[in-house]
Amino acid sequence: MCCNGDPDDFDFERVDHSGRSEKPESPTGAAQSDAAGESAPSVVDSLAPHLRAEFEELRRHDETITAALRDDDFAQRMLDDPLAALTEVGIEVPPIIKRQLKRSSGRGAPGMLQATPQSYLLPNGQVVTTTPRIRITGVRGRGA
Amino acid sequence: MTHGYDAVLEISEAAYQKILSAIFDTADFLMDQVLSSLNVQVPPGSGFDVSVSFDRPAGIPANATDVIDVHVTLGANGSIGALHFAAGLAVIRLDNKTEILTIDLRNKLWIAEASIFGIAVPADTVRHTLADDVGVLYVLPLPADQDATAPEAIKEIDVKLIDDTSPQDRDASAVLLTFGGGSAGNRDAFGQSFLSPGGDAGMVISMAWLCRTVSPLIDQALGGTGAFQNCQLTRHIGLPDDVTLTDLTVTLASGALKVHAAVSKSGTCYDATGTVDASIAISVQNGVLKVDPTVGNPVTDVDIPWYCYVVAGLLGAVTGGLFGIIGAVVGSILLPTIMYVTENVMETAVNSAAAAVANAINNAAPAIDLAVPDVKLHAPVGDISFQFSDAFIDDVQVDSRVVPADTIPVHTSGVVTVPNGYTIDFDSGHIGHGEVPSGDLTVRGSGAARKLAPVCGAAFARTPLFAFGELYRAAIYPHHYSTASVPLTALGIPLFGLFIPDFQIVGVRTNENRWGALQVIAADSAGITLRYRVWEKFTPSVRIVGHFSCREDAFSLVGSLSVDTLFTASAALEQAVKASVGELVMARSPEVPTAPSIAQLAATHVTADMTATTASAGKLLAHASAAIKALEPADRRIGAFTRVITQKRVPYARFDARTSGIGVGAHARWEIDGIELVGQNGTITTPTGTHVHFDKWGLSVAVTVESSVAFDMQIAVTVADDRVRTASARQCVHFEPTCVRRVTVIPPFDLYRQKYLETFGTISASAAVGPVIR
Repeated sequence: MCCNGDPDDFDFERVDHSGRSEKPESPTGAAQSDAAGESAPSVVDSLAPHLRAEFEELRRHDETITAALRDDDFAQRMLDDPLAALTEVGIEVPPIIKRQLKRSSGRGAPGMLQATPQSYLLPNGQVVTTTPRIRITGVRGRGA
Repeated sequence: MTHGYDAVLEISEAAYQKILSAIFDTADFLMDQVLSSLNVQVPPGSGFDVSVSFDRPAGIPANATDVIDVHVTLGANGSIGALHFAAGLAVIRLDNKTEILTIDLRNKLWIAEASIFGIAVPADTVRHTLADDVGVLYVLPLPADQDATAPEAIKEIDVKLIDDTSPQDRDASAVLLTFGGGSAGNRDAFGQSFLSPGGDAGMVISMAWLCRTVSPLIDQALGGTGAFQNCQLTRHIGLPDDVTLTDLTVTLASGALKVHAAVSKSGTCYDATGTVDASIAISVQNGVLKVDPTVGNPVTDVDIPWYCYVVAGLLGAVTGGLFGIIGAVVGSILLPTIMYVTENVMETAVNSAAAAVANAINNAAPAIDLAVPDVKLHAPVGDISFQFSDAFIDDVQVDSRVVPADTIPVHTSGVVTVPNGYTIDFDSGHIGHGEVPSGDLTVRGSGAARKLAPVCGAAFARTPLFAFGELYRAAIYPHHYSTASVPLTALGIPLFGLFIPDFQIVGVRTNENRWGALQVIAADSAGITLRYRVWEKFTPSVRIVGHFSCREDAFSLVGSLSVDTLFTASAALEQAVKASVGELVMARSPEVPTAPSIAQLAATHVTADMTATTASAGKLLAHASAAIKALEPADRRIGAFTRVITQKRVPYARFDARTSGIGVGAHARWEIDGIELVGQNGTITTPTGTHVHFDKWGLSVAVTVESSVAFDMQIAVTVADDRVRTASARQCVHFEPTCVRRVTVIPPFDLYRQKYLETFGTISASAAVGPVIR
């Protein structure tokens, strides 16, 4: 499923049938096990097997990347061009991911993500506008 | 500005002039009773003019406090004489439920002088009359419950006369209010009035009291179980859709109420926070306070773990997902929250706070005996109402107009068209052509050159008054009366054959020596239409005032948080949005829900090209915004939350015999359904079997009935004075055992948000995805 009903959008929020969002809080990005020991699908599960393998390879550099992201300038470079930022800290980006990031930089995702203003009409007639401030963080959340 | 008090009510010198004029005129108290006590007889119906000053007069003792200086000229332009007294204000506690603001003539009379026809009345005589015969003037009764603990109930009242000795001379009388849970402030800190020049009265509500009052309600509405205290959040509160309210504060800054709210929401691959600030302005429309918030642009922060960002990059799917998050955080929670707090909660809270004091004043009808012991002349109690006229925030200031009740019996009144060349007799209401015997006004001339001519000894005076509905007899005394005609053009503007009246009131002395007033409300080529009122002259008359009333909960918030709250969506808002986006219609979507939200209605007008273009998206919002802003502020909200409250009616009523032309020694004989009420109190059984208990004092009677069904009874009174002048009146009184009324309430947040999303929805637009309607 997808936000705004757009089938091309990424699933930032997996929703179960009760309408409540899941909270996969594992530092590895995999969902935490529930009481029955079953795992909810992680974001990595969205990837094809060969791409998933490369991604797990990239995840080995988690500590390096998280440490680098504590620098706001680096975090901004990561937002603007993740391939260049990863290379900057000496990480060898696996070939399929490298190719995909190069290609997707022309499709409105990493490398092209703009903080687009979004305007809302209020019942009092005001139109307020919010410009999202997006920050790429470490493993989990701000300051991770 | 409240100097530690919960609320302060300031009353101007001009308002005191109105109040004292009404007191002096009621039952001809000044011109008949007081002057008679001074052994002075004046022509019946002589007017007077009251002037009040809060400047400390010279020659009074240093320990005299809160002194009001009153000058009264007697007769037209002081033709009869003058009365001057200076006395101290005092608050008297009558019982544990009632206090009353008074002018204490018995204990604090510092100056007492009078002259009649140029001859000074002996000082001892004047002092004896004012201090001993009158004793006290009751200005303003207020309910004040010494044992009150609820923040909406007045606990204590104090008074402070503000004598500003600076060049601005901003004097006022301040009534200092302490509500349940509060404590008295510093009465010595008041140095200058906050009233606007020319203002009648104003009330300032302290931020501390507002917070004390509103915080429990906001907390309850949000399900905070004590998390929201003293206008700020002390711990996070969970909201619908896994959103957390992380901050909510209401503060006073730079003369405005500020509301700050922050929420957070976390999900797979993101942590999002949103914050927004709003500034609240308050205005008065038709006597009702309205809150108008200005909402700042929300700030949204979205944190995305690097690996999620990379995966999203691989899938090329970041932007739309972000808008889903922001929509959930900002559109569905943050904005409804800020609108809820600013528009709904604060408006109801501020309105109720102001109404708490205004209702207390306007409904004050002490059940106890207001007659002062050991006095000969019982002065009428000030009978006034406060009507909101303007509001400011600094703390929260609400200005009021003081409107004395019209206590004098009306002889004739009505609306009449007087044809050109005709004459009206205001004393009888008769109209005739040409010179009518005992007529008062003839319309002379034609067209715009017409004049209202006083005839047969009548006299007119132009006044600066305009509110005919708020007129009382003493208000028309102090003006220059003459037999000169009043040009029609002085009372309005002739324009292209039309006449646009300015509603100026003209004072009238009829040729039968009654006071009256007229107001031109229309004119055409054939005649002039005017409304008029003529008061009874100085002949014995009486009317009964009183009824069984419903208990008004001064604070409409109390007990208001309920799921049975009724919601009425704003039809004007819906129409405005529909009409505005309708201009953009190119094609209608067939998938219109049976009960669409306003946002969905707008969506039916969003055409295919609009979903892809920034210009169209912005156009949609701009059109809808302009249409909404053209509405009255009261309509610029999603709707009204109300509850119908059914209460048992208070089986108590107080009836007063309001007299004119009845002098010293007035006493009353009361009857109910033909049965005389004998003794000071007792119980009677009416012919219909209803038990009625009564308590009598002065010219008043209080009755308590025992009945669970509706019934009518006839109450009658005959009054007489020492000179055996008598008058009688009777009136039918209806009793209904229940009171049904609809009150504005604050709904629980969940309910408000549900109605917000159902009726208004989220209408947003961005350059990336065009209009988004949810």
